[in-house]
Amino acid sequence: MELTSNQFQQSAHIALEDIRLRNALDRATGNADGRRRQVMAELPHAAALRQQGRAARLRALNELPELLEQVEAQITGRGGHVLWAETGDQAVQHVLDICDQHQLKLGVKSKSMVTEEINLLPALEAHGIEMIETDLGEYIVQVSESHPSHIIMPVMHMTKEQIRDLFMDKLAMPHTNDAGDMTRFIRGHLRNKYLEADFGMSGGNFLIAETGTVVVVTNEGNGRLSTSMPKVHIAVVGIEKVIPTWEDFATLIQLLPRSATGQRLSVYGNAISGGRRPGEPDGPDEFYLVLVDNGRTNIYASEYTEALACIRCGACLNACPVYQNVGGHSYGWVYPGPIGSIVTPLLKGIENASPLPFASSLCGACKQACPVDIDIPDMLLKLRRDLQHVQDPMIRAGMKGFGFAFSNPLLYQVGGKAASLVTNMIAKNSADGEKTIADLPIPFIGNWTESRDFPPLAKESFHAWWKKNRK
Amino acid sequence: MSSRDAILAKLRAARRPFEDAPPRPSAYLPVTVQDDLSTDALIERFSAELTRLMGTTLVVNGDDEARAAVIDLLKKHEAKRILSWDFAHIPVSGLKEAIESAGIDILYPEPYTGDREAMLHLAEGAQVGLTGADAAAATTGTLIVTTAPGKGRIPTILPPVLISVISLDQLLPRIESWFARLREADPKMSGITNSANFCLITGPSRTGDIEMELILGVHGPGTQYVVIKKTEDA
Ligand code: SF4
Repeated sequence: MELTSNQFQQSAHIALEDIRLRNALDRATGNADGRRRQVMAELPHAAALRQQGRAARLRALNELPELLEQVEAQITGRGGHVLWAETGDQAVQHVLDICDQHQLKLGVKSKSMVTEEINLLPALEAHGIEMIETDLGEYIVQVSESHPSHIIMPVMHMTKEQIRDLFMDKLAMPHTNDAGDMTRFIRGHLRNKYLEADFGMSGGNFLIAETGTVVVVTNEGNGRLSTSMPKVHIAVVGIEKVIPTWEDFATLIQLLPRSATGQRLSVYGNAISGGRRPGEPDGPDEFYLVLVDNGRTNIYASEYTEALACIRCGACLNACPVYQNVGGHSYGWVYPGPIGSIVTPLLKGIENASPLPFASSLCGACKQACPVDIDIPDMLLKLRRDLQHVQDPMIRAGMKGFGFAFSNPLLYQVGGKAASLVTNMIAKNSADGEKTIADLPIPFIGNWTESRDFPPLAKESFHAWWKKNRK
Repeated sequence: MSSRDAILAKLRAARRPFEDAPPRPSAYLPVTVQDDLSTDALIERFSAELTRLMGTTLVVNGDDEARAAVIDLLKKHEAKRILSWDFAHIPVSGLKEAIESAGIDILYPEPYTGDREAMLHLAEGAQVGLTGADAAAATTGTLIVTTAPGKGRIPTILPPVLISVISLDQLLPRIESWFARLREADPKMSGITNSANFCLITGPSRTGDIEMELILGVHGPGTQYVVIKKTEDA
């Protein structure tokens, strides 16, 4: 995916003017955030569980090289293949080589961020390999030739009518206004692809080191179908996804959907430990795991290692007053929202994503929402500090974005009192040019148990304000 | 240097990032709460959770009732052809014969034997998948299925309806309980490595991708039944 993060300001302006988009964002983020709060509130030990999940991720990062070796030994010991890729291009080449070797022409794919990150699909297409996204949202993205705007809800920026028109136009779907009809149409439309596909492709939500197992989490069942029907399965997974044990998994697999969609468990937690075993009736014969670095080892060696603890639940996006208003595309790359504002500069170069660390009011809602308690505001502040040390004209873009985030009346209003307090403080300090922003305190970050009481941001009053002001 | 060695060398050159991370706990805190572990309470919880997910639980006494329940469901869904596990792994005696005498075709999907394409298209036309399970977890309404000879993945995921029969001893409190059971049987977790695949299945297939409207049965089964078989005298 092309990187346009330095145009955050312009993209966000366009997004802010788009009433239809803002309604869609409002509904989706509000809904998901509300459900997360609800299912977390039902856990009496929520705070302790969150620390248990966090500790599992941190221990995993401590032992990362050993755990990766363990994954490799386990999988290869059972006849599977593990391929390592330092760069996105290397990962793509591995996949192309596998396709070559097995003469693979048609693939069915379940949702994966890392394949988006390494631009896999255009490369496959250029080599005459057809790859069908099977997650409904990702399929809509593919048919509309656009990009996902959320890491869990890829087309949350689109309305039902837009999706209907797209299907009618591109796929000759008969007219309907019913989301169920549209879904059933796509089910039928993709059915034969599962049967005819030469290979299945997936990402991986977790890699369990002790047994060398990839877990692919989906609600639709497309992940299980894609990795069960064809003869070959290729999993492309970032090296940071590894965790040591199944006990760690049991905690994280439940924190993930609770934070992502407010489900207690996702429908399918599909765990693949390699190719078909002797006597097993179905499933792929060949299993490949492509382990992708693509900048992660740099993050690992930096002071931002904690960003690698992310389990990609999307809760910080839903909770973020900036994301709620500008949407995912404004961030200009694969990973949007608060975590994207950290990961994008780190993976793509801070000078190529300089506005993103400023696309935050530092209200702390992201950290409070995060199931593994990642200190996102702290890392955003450190990135701002780093930008001050970069002697590059691009830093201006960043500072402009900074100005934007806090001067735009629409956005400014959203964060309400909390945000304006923080932004005033920051604005003062950056104006005198002396103090570094990293020295500023971050208010409103309390214990996670308090997050249940954290006041949801004032959507109603924002709407009222908007209505009044657009006249 | 190979990519592998380069990646590992870079990771090793970095300091351990979280020296102060808490050590692995000797006992993990389970995520969900279930104080009453009696079988009745577990059945009730499982059923409540699955109902909430739009699935259906049927509790039956003994083989005769289990058989009748499955046949009823197959008739209700007008099944002409079903995809099934080997009946040795479905805990109901005489079930295969009962299905056959109801005039329903039983297909065991084995895409590696015979004409793969023809077999898969035939399988795609089946109305129902019929399986047992390795375990079920009450607090989340979850079925756990592992692969083995006679126990494939296709019956669990391809047809629009999934019926799974479990016996009462397979019903555990939580998913954590299943992992604990495997750990106890073998610290190396061979219960997992002996299979190519296992899956936690929690309710029917669903999506919210279009305006977050809940739609069941996107790619996997949209209709799910779990039949819990108590023993005759229970
Ligand atoms: S940073 Fe935390 S809240 Fe955001 S996606 Fe990652 S795990 Fe979820």
